[in-house]
Amino acid sequence: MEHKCSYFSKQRILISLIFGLFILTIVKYSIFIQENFSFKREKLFYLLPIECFRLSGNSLRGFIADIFYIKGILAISDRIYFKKASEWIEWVQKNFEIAVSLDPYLVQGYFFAGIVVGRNKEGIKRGIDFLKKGLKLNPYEWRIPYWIGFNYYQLGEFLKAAYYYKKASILPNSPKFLKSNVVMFYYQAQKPELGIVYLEGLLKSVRDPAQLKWIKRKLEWLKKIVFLEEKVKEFKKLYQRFPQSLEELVEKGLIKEIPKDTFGKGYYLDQKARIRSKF
Amino acid sequence: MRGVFSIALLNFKEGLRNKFFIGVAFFLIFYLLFCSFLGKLSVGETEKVLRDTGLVGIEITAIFLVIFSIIFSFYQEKNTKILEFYLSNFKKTTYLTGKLIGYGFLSLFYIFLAGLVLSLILSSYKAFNFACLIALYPMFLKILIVMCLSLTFSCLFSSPIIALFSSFFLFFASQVCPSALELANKYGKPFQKTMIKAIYHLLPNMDKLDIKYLAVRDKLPSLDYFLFITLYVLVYIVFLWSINVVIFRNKEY
Repeated sequence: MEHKCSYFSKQRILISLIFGLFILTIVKYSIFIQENFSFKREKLFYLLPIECFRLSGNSLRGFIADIFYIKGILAISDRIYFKKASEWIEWVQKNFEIAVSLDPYLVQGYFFAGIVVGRNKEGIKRGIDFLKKGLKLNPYEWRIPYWIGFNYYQLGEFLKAAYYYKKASILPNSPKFLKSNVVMFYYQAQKPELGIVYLEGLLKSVRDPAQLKWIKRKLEWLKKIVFLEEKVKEFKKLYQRFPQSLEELVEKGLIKEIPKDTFGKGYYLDQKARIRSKF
Repeated sequence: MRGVFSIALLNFKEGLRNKFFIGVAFFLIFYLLFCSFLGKLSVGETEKVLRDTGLVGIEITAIFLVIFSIIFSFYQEKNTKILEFYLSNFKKTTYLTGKLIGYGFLSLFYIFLAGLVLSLILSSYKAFNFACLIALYPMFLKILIVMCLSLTFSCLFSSPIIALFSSFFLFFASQVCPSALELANKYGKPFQKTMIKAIYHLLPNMDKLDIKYLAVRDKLPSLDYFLFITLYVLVYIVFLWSINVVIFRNKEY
């Protein structure tokens, strides 16, 4: 009984109360300071030049690249801090630039800085610039020219898109469909004859039967477009106007019938008197 | 030879029981768990980030462990007169060799444990690759050199703090020397180039003992590479051991 009393002596209770009071006061003051003196901290959007990070030595280079890769991903959500979209793009790209300079094989970094930031024409153009720089750092990665091509496609520059898709298609590990897909851009750019030249060249270099089948099918499709476009020109020479539809070419005896569309759902004449395919 | 192994075993056991070892091991486990969080943040490159951060964590913690434990163990033995006891029973070379082998095994054991934990974490994220485990071997060689350097500074200086700082600074110098050489080659004058080149070749080539960059991409160098770096490290260790022996023999304990 005496032993138990020593645990709950007046002195111990008093000390515990004083300590409790201290803890309560500290917590209360902490809350008070936080509520009344919380200063708004401004985010600093500054990064050291890339050369400084390159000095980090080989052993930590990959690790620092990872840190900037993560920073870049987080920077994508920093849009609210920037008045102008261009400043935000610059900030995002700067983070990814450091990441890919230290580790050029961080392929997804090119995707975020080259594709994700491109929300308008200016963003897409800056994305293309970033990806072109990336292509110098990592020239054997097929996805980089593929993304450049995609950006050009979004801008409506089909010939450039075709050029980069072609470039991507010859790089290691590129998917097979890329090779024959290029012709779609020549078609969009209204240059089917270029597509035919490209496909005929491809036909000689490809051995895979499944791919050959697709190439032949697209080649036939493009040849029919070129053939029909020539007939439209012939029609114009004869009647000093463009035909209203492809059926008119049949009516006037320039063609026996409208050729079967081997790729799309049928040929038609658009408002600019160009041959199109229904998809 | 028996003496060497007895001292090595004693040092290994002592190192294993040391607070540094336990502290660093716990830190590494927490760090590796933190890495899994980093992996989640790095959309698209999760596997690479997990492997990279994990390997960097093992390397940094192993270097801290080996520098701190070997320096403090040496000075502790000196201050508590255990060193005197050792030297009255064994030759100075036996003591030094035993200490190096003991701590070498300690580093190997630590790397083995860390590799095991990393493999488990990587497997749970389906990011495990065998190359990452292979990358631990050059890392171990690097740590052996750092260990020898730390022991050299411990023999050389009477203060553990100076030995500690010297070890860390020399390690950093050898880490950044390749970059300095790159800069000198680009912008330096011929004299500067020669000087930095000489320093680079004299310091341990830490950049050559690093294949993390390849391993995270599941690539590995040829077998010749492993053979040559092993020979290089062996020669370097024997060189440092000789310096140690010369300093140690000329000092009174």
